Amino acid sequence: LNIPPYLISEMVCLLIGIWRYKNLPAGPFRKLVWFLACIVCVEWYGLVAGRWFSGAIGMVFNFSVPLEYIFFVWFITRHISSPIGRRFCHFYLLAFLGFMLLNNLFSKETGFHGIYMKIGILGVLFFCCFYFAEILRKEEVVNPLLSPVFWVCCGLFIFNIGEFVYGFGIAKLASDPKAWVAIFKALNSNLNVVLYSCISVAMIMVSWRK
Amino acid sequence: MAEMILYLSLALLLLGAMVLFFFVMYRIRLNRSIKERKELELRSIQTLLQTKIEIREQTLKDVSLEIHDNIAQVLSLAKLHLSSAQAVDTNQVNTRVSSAKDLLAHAIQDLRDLSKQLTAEQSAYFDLVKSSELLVDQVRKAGAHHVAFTVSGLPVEIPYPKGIILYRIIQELLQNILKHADASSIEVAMGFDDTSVNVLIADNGKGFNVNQVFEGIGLKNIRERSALLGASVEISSLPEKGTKTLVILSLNEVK
Repeated sequence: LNIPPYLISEMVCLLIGIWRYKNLPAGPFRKLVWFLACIVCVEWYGLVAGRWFSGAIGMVFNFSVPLEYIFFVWFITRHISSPIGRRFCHFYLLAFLGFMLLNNLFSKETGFHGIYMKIGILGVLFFCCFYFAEILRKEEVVNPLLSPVFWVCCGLFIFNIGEFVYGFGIAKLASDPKAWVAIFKALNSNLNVVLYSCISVAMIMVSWRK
Repeated sequence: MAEMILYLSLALLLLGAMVLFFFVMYRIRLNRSIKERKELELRSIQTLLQTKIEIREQTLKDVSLEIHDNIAQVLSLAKLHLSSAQAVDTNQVNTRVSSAKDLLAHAIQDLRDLSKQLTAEQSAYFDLVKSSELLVDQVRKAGAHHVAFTVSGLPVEIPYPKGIILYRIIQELLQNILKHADASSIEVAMGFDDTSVNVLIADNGKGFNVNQVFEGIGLKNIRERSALLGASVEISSLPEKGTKTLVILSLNEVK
């Protein structure tokens, strides 16, 4: 069983999270470690079930992928100071959660629903930009490179911008018989490495700062 | 189609990385300008504190001189009159006591003036006109100069701390005249209109060549403080023709 690079990066990130757990401040960063543990479990399940059982794993990802986006948007929300921005974030989270539950309950399609990626990518990109705009507007000396949340947002921004076209063209790609899907998977895997590396840096920074 | 999507993804990725790079660079540049602005603010606060300290020192010096040279002398004289009253006949006793009373009244008035000056300078709402008038009165009392003080237009309240800085400029200019000008006449004119506050201080002293004379600490202070206020200073002088200094403070700067 070949472990793909994205899964290795997720596991390394989780290990860093466990190693620094006691030094992480209570709140979003500690929850991030638990979230990472869930993600790694789901990814392992996807890998194993996909290869050995050739089972329909779409339904698992229909829950895990939107929850992943929801968690990251919630994470950013906790670091947005504007009340309007926070309210908008909460509205987005509730709407996305409600839509996911209803869609999964009533949809007859068992495969992965690409709509979750579209909504998630747009949301994460929007709220990352919102966070960046807040940093830019701050009338005090802020070094973004020393801010752990900035690193998380950078990883999310890069990951989602790389996934943007893929996420929106997923339906067309699925019908493409050529081997492009493999290239996209490789791209996705590399983007995952970037994302989880950024999260690892953020966790190390925040634990040192504490 | 898939090929196009891949290239688009890569292009977007590159664009995203560039956006992040420029974002960080811009923020770092912004940090630098914020730091500079804060330093400037700190410097102006320091100048303001320095100004306040100087004003306080000058006031204490003036008060000390006033007490020593005037009030103490008047009180000593009053004491002398009262002491000598015992040794003289009844008619003269009344005269001496009356003189002593006059002297004591004079001393009380001087103490009141001093108290007013101190109150005006320490008030939260600094009254520039009143304080300047008291300052001019002090110079006038010394008797060495003929001092004219005029106010034209409706005086506007110059909020703290700008009023106190402008007052310090007037004080410094008067000190310069007293120390260096050899003048017999001094004119202080304050003008208020809708747009600005003008302060003209002129003397008929020995003057100087504006282009040749090295600016001492006093003039440098005046320029620095004017810059802090956002006021302009025009100094015109010629040897043996006196000196005129005009300070113009725009009311836009005051608000």
